[in-house]
Amino acid sequence: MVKRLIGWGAGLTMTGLALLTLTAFLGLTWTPGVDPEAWKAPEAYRILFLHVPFAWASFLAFGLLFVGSLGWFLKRSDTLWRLVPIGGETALLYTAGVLISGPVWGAAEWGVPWDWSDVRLNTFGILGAVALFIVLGHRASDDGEESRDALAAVGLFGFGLVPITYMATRWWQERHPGPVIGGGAESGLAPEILLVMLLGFLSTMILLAGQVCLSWAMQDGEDRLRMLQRRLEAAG
Amino acid sequence: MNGMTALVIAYLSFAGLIGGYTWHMIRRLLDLHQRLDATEAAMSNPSESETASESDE
Repeated sequence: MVKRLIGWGAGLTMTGLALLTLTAFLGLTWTPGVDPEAWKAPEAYRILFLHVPFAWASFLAFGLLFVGSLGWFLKRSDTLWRLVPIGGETALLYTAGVLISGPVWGAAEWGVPWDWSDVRLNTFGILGAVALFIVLGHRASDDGEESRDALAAVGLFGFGLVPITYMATRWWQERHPGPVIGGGAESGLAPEILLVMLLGFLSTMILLAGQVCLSWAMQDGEDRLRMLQRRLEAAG
Repeated sequence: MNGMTALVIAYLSFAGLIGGYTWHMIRRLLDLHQRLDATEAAMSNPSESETASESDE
């Protein structure tokens, strides 16, 4: 079972990485440029080919965190609990990508990396902090019921913030650009841009699935190691 | 910061994050695999592990 999971995880991860590389390549070379008159840093818009899929992947990772947290609170399920550290770690990875690339683009396009009056930026920043807290909290604490309760509560809070973050540009648009898909008549994208962005989304989904398989296998292995070590101690 | 510099920094950051995380996972998996092998070997041959631990001391 574990070996099969590692095989799937490695295959999905490699596929996801290859497709993500293709996304970056197409985003840099094949997609049309934007109007240089309308943008201060037109070349930098190509950041969005990875920035947006990373943001979607981070929301999916918070979804895993939600399932794990709920499974822990409702059923005290050790199996579902595994999704909390896995969701936290992957959420941290993808929010970090967004929180690095966003301010880099902002510095080029707006002249400032961050705007404290923009709700989308701030709620996304909090999501990153939540993911970081879960990863560090899981590593630093003993794996007991109390620490699991605390981390699961933070996980639920983080997931609660996802729809607010997603809708923030519709409800209170300040500086962050509006939604690129499903945002109304004026948010349409050129077909090439849309295609590459969807490829980026598919890539990050496959990559995330591979990472989840590998992390799950790792947790399986760690559980087995703990069990063997207990048996060895009891025998010795 | 001009647009091209921003683009390069952002793409390098994406590559660094994904590459770093993948590398970290591979190392953790290999380390776990080694520890599992060592523990299983110790269980299947306890006298060997005792000798090993005595020689360690």
